[in-house]
Amino acid sequence: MSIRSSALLSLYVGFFLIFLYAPTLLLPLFAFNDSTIVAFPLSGFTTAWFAGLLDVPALHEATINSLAVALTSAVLATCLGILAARATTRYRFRLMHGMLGLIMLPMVLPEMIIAVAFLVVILHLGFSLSLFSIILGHVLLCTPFSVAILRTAFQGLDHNYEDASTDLGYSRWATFRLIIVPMVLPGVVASLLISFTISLDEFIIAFFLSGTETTLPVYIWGQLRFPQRVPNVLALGTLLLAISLGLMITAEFFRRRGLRKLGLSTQESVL
Amino acid sequence: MNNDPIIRINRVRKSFGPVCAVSEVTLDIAPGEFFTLVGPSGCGKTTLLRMLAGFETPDGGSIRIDGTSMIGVPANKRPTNMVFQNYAVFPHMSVADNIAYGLRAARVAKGEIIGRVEEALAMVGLAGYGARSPAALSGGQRQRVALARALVLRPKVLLLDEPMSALDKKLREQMQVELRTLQRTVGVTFVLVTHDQEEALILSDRIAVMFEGRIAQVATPHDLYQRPQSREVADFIGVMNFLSAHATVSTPDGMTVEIEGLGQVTIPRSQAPANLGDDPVVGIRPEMLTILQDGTHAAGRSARGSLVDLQY
Ligand SMILES: Nc1ncnc2c1ncn2[C@@H]1O[C@H](COP(=O)(O)OP(=O)(O)OP(=O)(O)O)[C@@H](O)[C@H]1O
Ligand SMILES: [Mg+2]
Repeated sequence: MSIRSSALLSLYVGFFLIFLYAPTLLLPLFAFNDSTIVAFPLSGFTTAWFAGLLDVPALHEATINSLAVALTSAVLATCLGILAARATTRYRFRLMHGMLGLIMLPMVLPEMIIAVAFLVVILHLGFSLSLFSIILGHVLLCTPFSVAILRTAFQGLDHNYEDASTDLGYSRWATFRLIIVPMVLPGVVASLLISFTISLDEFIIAFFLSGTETTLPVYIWGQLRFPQRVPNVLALGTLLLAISLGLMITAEFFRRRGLRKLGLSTQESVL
Repeated sequence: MNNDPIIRINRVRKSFGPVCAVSEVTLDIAPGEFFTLVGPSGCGKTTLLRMLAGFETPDGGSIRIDGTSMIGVPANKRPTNMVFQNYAVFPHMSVADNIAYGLRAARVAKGEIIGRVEEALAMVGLAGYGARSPAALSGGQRQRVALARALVLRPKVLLLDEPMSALDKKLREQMQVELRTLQRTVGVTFVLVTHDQEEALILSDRIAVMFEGRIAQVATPHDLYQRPQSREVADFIGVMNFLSAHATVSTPDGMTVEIEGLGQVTIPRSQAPANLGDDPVVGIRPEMLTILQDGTHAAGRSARGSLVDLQY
């Protein structure tokens, strides 16, 4: 490659990264800025916006709702993920690939479509919107990620371990509990963390399916109508960003540790 | 002394879809025997072993172990234990926990477990390795853990599927000696699967040679080597030269055949089947040939030739 084209390529990559991440980096920048107007030049450093978050009861409620929704969705999606991953890696059956395709579909389906479809169905069935309806939507959204992560974990599992456990006198259920679960545990943790993060950040489904109770992203959306609250929202956004990033890194750490434990390469990533 | 077979396999069949992995195998294995199933890749050895362990269900026929029919008995209820090809030592447990694993399933008392684990570790030469993680062990050591884990349960039969194939040549030879010694010490019936005929000859009391799902011959290593019953067995075990011949005279102490290019050769009775066709094939092991000076030959047991090439 010539020097010229390699310089061009670096320039391209540089611009690409700036477009991708600069807006996100502005978030913490203005969250610490001592002014209600979100614009340059910066006027001074303050943590007042973060402190201000503490005395908004609606925010606390939304936070608790979000955590509850994310936790429940993560657990449910991971349970479904374990079942699907186990079934599709251990057994061969008809329509397996078709079934996997359907499970993975929500990854590429526009969230808007999922949200509207859920809304119509739930209202037609005569149920009212609640946190529970948000959870349903989030489970649908998180399950493909959970299945993708757990399938890698289960694929690395040698059948011989199960056979050995059976051979040494254990039932299938005891083998699942004592051998399979511990060996795929890092994958389970990774799936829990990723599902939790996805649910915590999710807006469209939560917006369409929330009744009187809302989640954090929906709360933030509501606050953007009040210009004087924008710095508070930025502070909140900064916190969410930090939490999500931390969870993702932890998840990837567990996933890699799991693969290493099974003696597999940690080069390629599922996500 | 009880001489009833510990394992009776009667007309056992197993197919995987269109592939017939094991067909009509009938076999008795005596208690305390070191028995080996040998054959080329894909001949159904593993399948037969897995049917003994209870991991595969036969399509037909019966398997009795220690006088009890094994039909419908799951793997975790059989008096057999297995050493897997890659050892399947659980990576998330210490060596001692691996060995104690089966004892816990059998609800052996805690105090007894500790003693038996120590004993098993000492038996395979791994005393003091209990606290180690399997990841910190070499291939040979992992194999010993797998052996200890299976033998600590005092099974009636120990099944071993290609236990040496993951080891390098030197270690393999050492482990073969140890395995044989171990089997003599514990007196447990061993059923070993291997595709390595040399290993089979070294280790076994008796060997079954398998081809394409059926058993071609069951014999002691000596008989198998000296008196293979068919050309395919002779070809598989050791090195054999095949010469086509014509039968001429059959006398009580031998059979004289006319070998193309070599003239008449007399074969002792013990080496020749009773009813020979008109055009038998004579097999001769290369180490049975001796090169003699011209003029020192014995009539009927030698042939003239010339030395073309020499390799060490
Ligand atoms: N679970 C299975 N499903 C389908 N076919 C199988 C299965 N297990 C074995 N076979 C087939 O049955 C035949 C015998 O297999 P088996 O594993 O018993 O051979 P083997 O003698 O142990 O060979 P190797 O020395 O390669 O291990 C092979 O053709 C194999 O492809
Ligand atoms: Mg095999």
